[in-house]
Amino acid sequence: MSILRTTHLSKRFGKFRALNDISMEVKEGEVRAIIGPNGAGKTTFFNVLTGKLKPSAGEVFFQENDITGRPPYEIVKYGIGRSFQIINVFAGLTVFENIALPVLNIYRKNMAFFSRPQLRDDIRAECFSILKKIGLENEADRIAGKLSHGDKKKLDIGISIAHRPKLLLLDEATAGLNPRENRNIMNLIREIAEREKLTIILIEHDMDAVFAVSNRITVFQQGAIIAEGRPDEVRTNKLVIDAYLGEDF
Amino acid sequence: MKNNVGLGWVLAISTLVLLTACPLFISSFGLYLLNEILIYSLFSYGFYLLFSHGGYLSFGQAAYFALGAYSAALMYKHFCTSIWLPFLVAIAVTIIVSIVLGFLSVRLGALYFAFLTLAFAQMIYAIVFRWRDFTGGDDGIPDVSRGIVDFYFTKIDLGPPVNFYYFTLILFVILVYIMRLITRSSFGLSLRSIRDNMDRTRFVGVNPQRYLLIAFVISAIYCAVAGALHGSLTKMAYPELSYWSTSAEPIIMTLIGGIYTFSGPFFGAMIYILLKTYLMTIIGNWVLFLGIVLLFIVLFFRKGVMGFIEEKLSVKL
Amino acid sequence: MPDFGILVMDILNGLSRGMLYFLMASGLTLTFSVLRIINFAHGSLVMLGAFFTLSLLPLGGSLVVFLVLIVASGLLVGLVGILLETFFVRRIYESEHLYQLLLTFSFIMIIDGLVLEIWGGQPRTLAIPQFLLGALFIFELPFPKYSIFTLVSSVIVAILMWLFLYKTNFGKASRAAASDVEITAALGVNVSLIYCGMFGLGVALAGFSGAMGLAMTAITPGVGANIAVLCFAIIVIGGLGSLVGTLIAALIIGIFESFGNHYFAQFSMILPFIIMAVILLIRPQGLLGQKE
Repeated sequence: MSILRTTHLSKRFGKFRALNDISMEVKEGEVRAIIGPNGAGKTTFFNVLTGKLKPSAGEVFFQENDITGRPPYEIVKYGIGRSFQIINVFAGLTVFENIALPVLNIYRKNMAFFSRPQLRDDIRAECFSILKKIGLENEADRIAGKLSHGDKKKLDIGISIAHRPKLLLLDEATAGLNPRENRNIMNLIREIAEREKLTIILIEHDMDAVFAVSNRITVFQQGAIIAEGRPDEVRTNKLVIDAYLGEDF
Repeated sequence: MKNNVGLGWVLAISTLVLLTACPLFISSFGLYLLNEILIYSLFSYGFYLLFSHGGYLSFGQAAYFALGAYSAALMYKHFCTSIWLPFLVAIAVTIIVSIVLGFLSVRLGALYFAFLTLAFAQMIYAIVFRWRDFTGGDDGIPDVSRGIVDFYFTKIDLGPPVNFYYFTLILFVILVYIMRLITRSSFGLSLRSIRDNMDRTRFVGVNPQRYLLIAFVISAIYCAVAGALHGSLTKMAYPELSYWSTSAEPIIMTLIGGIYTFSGPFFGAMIYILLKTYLMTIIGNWVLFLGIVLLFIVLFFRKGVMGFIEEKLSVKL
Repeated sequence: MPDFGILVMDILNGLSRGMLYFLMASGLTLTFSVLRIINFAHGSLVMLGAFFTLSLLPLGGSLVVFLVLIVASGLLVGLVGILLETFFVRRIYESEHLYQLLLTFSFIMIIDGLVLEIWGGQPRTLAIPQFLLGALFIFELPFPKYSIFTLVSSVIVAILMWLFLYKTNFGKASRAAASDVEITAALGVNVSLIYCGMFGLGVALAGFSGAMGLAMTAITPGVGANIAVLCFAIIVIGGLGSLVGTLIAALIIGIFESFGNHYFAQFSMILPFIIMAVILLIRPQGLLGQKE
């Protein structure tokens, strides 16, 4: 069953076509990688999917619901989670509070005026279970801004899975990480994908990671899709090699 | 930072005890000052919620201070002597106005918000100033009553200063306690997430405009209650209550006290009022002095007094 | 049948007011586009320009001297702006917007306080000099000389401003800095000079319009906040960042106010707010502003 579908999705900034007629379908349970050179429109694609930007044309369907142009706080409720290329955590809040926010959202308790997340057993338990999953349960009281880069990345991913999404969009989860942290993150993602039965779309530049985890790959260039298919197909696709991969893969 | 909650409680309780016992041994002028301090603390707490937790700087909370003062004053003048109706009307009027103006002000982001709040406060000043028939225009409303607390079985006249002081104190304690609950609640957390990272907060399901509007209305209520009390304390209501210079006061008070400290607004109000009372006669050009103080704080002393103490002692106050 | 004479006068008044408002508001727009700072004290600086003119006036004698005085007032205020930028504003570029707002807010109080010290608290008006009193009669319709003077001078200044921004190197560099500071700096442009200069220019425009506008209303220390609010209203209506939008909005407000003073004086004070509120409701980005 298709979990995400876009039809003729386009985004223009003045004359510049950031996205050009993107029609794509992702099936439930897939791990789909989006690759392509910088400026190809990959992050813009995520931004349009998640409501941060409004498309100039086209539609986005999530589980056959039309979510085109809806704002982020609604999209999140449909079940789409997103992590960010440039670390986007709540730097002034503690790690626990960072995770508590999406959890509160599930329990619809963001507006509770008189109760505190730390005091409710169910919320507390859920927060800690997520902290455990991303390996940060010992840092619960630490101010997020003071974490190491790798830990911040984990937190970023933690926030995006904390509200139980069905689809997870990971934007360059390995960016800026050293090889060891890189492996940690990829393992984490693989584990989460298997355990939570999530569908994942990831934007990645690390080709080893891409070819290791993904079921299918979509290749972007200059705002358009130039290739799509299984890893071995994409790897040997001449267009893709010329545009992006080079001869080595 | 060690979370020595104990010291914070000690401070709170000792302050409360002092505030309760004070009337027994200070002059009537001192009592008046203390009353003012409590009122302006409430005004500052209103500002504090919006600024320190929501990250939105309002230059126009005086509008609600004035609305509170005028609503209560007019109720006393035309309708009754009991306190219930004036306060209820003041709050009701404030809620309605703040929802409308707040909605318009938060639409475009923090920068626009800052000067929109200023603009709307000046607008209310202009309306109050012009509408002589209703508000008394330039002269304001004189002889505002202090009201009577009318329980079914007993009536307490708030005319005597001591009575009014305790009335203010009780309101103060209740409202500050509620503010404490709100800031520590999930709502407070959501608000702080907006201040911290408005972009990301949308991705955790929080609609910033809605939360900010709610915070705005709560803030306005605090300012209005403070205004109503102020009107009764000074026994008058006048247009300048909505002027930008009045809006500046909770801002400066909170900054002096410490914008990220819970006790900041109270101690800031205290310091400010004491300074104003004793320095204003010496200094003369108060506006200039205030501007320099604000300049100094913005450049060199952002933590404020309580923030400074917090850091030195590693506690949370 | 409305009296054409009064109608013409109202329109002319409105246009000249509007042009003046445009110069005022564009100073604010410029500082915002380039430095990303909303200068709360903008209105106080307008007021300062008026006060400078008041003091320089005794030197005046003829039309030319008068014009020079006004320009000089504007430049003096610009100098004040440069001083403010150099000593205070540049310290907080790195800080959160909130602190920048608080800083410029403190400027309101400081400038108001200083004006109070130096010029006292009484309302002042400018007696329109002899040579600008009365009206020119064209087609038997009276055109008040002062309005013509204001209108013509403002248009000239506006054109000069446009030339400066689009034809000089400094102007082009400023516009570059407005769209992307890092690249501009990387190209070797002295960005601090640009910031300083543009702040000074924005403030000078404020001072100039205050000087010109002195004849139109009385001023007191403290009127700065109202003027600032008016400028903000104009910018909100026209759209932040769009000079053309600011022009249109300013002219609309100027004309409305001119007619308003005649026919419904009670409301003309809050008219800009009402228009602003309507715009916020139905078109938040302003008439010509950009969405997103």
